[in-house]
Amino acid sequence: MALELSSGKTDVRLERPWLNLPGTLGFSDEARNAIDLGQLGALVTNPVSLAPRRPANPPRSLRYPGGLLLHTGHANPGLRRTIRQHGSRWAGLPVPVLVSVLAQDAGELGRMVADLESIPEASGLVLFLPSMEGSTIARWVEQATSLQRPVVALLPLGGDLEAVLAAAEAGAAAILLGPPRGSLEIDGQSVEGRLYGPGLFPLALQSARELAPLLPIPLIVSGGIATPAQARACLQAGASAVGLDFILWKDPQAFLSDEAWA
Amino acid sequence: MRRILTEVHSLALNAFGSPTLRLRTPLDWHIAPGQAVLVDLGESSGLLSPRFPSEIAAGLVSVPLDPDSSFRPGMGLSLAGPIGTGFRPPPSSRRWLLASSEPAPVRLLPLLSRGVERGIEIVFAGSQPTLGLPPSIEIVSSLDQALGWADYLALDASRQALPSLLASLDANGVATTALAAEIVVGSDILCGWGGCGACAISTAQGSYLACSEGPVRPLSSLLERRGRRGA
Repeated sequence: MALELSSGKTDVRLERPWLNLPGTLGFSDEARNAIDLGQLGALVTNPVSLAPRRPANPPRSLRYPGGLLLHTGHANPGLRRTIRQHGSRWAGLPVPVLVSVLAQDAGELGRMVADLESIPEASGLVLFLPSMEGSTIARWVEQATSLQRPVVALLPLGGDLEAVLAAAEAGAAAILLGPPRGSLEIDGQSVEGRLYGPGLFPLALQSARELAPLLPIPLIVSGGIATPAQARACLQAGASAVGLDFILWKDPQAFLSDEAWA
Repeated sequence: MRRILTEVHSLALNAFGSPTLRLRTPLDWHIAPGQAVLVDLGESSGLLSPRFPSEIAAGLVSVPLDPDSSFRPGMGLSLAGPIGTGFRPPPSSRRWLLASSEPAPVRLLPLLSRGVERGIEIVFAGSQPTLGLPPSIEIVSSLDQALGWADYLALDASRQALPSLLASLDANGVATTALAAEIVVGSDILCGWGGCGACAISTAQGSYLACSEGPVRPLSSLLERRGRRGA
């Protein structure tokens, strides 16, 4: 059940075919008192930008039947400070660390990749690829792969097939289908954000079935996966691994423990 | 933070007449006033519900409940907590001033009960009528009326009311006093360990995560930063 992520030069082995989504477990070992991080295949950090980002204005989380809309603003202290604060902790974690990279443009991405070159504890990258054309996605992925560590392209679940194929052909080590975006109204105000929760699972499973046969690289699907049975269904449908979101907040042992998989 | 399986002891109304769920908890599980919990109340979102207990006793904790819930005594449900840090009044303090931006300051109830048990003199300041507090508690309409008397100040604010509360405290000169003061701010906690960022509380000078850097904070950590900016 292990998953190999390859950059062509270096490989990263995930002993278990699941990882957390960016934005779920913090920047290093914040969840250590609640989760045995060794039960993950890899730890994906919260999104890190070149410059610090402040939290978004409230409301940041809106619950609805079937899930949650989250709009945190991806608050983080910026890449260099994140490395200073968490880099040494990455080395002590029992699983590979994939740094989640949130760049605003290609120039920022280049500087972030350069900063990460001297950080061997970052086993690979998870590259945020917001809505953009396939040609732009290809350029970003090529730029990120210059680090010569595996690059996981993060694209929205249910998004554009052209974008997925462009990332795969440009050299991504894997495709991670992450939270789609949506919007809700509250007090007459429209709030946009990422969607999480059990209501997304049918879309995750469908995506695994449809996309995995088209891709030359591993596909990691996420979206409301809460049980080993749901994960197995995605793996049998063609996914190489699954991404975990709300279950890590709700009841991580229900998914991660050996008993759950027995 | 620990995950425990609890059992519904009973359903009750809190001091303000709102429904609460009283849960049996293990005797070796402790929570302080001001700390939060995450409870599996069967939300349709699939998530745990963040709650600030309104009652804390040995082997028992009460959490606010939606009126249309269908819990019954004896039912089991899971709970995660305690989350973050709670109120820590100085052991020598004997005159507590509590204040809230809310008409029903549920987040302060456990601290208030603890103070009453210990024979502390307590004054509650609220700009809106507050019903249901024990008769031994004096109620005043503004902080000013008791600031000079108190040797401990505990504040409760909604996230929306926080900016105006901090501004009024600046105007009151609380920042320049040596009064021991703490504040709890309501927030939507998702993970409970500082992983998701949903519970960030923003102030004029920065932000903190309610779950891992709160929910209770020294008031000075907010006011002093505001003071430095103005300097």
